[in-house]
Amino acid sequence: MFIAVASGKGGTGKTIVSTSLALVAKNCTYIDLDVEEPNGYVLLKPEIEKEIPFNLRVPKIDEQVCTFCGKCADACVYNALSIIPHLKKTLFYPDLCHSCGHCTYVCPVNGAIEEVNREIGKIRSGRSGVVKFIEGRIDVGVISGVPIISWIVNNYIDSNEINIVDSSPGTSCPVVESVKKSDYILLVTEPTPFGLSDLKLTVEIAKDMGKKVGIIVNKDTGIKIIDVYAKEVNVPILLKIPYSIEIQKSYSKGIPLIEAMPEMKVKFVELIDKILCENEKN
Amino acid sequence: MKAFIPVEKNEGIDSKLDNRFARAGYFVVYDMESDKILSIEENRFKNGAHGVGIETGNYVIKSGCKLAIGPRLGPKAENILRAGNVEFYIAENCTVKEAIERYRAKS
Repeated sequence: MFIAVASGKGGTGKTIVSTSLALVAKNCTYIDLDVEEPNGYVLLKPEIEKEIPFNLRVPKIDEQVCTFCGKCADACVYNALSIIPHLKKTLFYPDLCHSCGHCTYVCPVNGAIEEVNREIGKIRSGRSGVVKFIEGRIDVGVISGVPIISWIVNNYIDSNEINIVDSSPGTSCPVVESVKKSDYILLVTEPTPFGLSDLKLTVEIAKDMGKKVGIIVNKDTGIKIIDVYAKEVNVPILLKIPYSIEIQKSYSKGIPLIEAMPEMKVKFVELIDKILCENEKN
Repeated sequence: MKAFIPVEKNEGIDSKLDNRFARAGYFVVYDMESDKILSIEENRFKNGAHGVGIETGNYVIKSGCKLAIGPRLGPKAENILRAGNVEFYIAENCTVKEAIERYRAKS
């Protein structure tokens, strides 16, 4: 089973929720796909066994061989290439390249374009007790984390096991890529107007994708703003985590929620059981 | 020499310069020698998601312009104009006609 933890608004507690779930689920795989700033490792403190570079294939043009015909730049729908024939110059914009290989395919000159590796990040894997740990991380300055997210989702998720994915915040491509193969999306929010507004966007996306979804209200102050909306759209609120300075203190020390507050451990056990039961029913 | 001038609407020599370079409404290619507009084309790149500056830069290079006139330039368009040795002259709040006059007056 593949459970994705997401949120429209940042800082609502995806990492607190996903690490807690991973710790109570046992024998599961925790996958940090918040690739711009993965921080699940701070709480899970895994022993990293392997770190591999993640490469994209990008074109490298040999200006000694190239005839500057411009077919590659014309073919590139992402505008990642410029050819300046009268100066015999070529320009390549790596951040726009989607590694589709079209430029190499249309090039009429043998040896003018070679595909080379461009490292954009790293995939780290290891263990935190019985929890398997996987983390994607893109290098500073890399614009899109989608390729590394997509690769991890397609290659590291074993559907026979429990996988808990910590996604990046928001509603853009990286989030869609992180949740699109999931069986269940847990949306973490907070009872504020910002929390509600961004929750609405993510609920709409999840429903568009035909996903089962549940809400977790973090930093619960008793304000019912999320409850009203959840009822309206018929999405269950599965858990409320209280607004507490103690939780914040333990988080800043890198102590997982279920260790800092054992009463929450019971609730997370109930939560994962409920999600697994519901999954089995289908 | 040919000049590239991004404009808001197609109003010939009286077209007003667009505030945006790569996402302008129309592209004017002007021939400085014969003092004539060679072409006014609707900018088909303007609603693109990414790399519009590059697309427009490629258009400037392909149309053989050695001069571009406009109020400002995005980083991607600037990059390719520089690489292609295309001169950039800043003019704003004016028509194509006035922009050409200003360019000539400065030199």
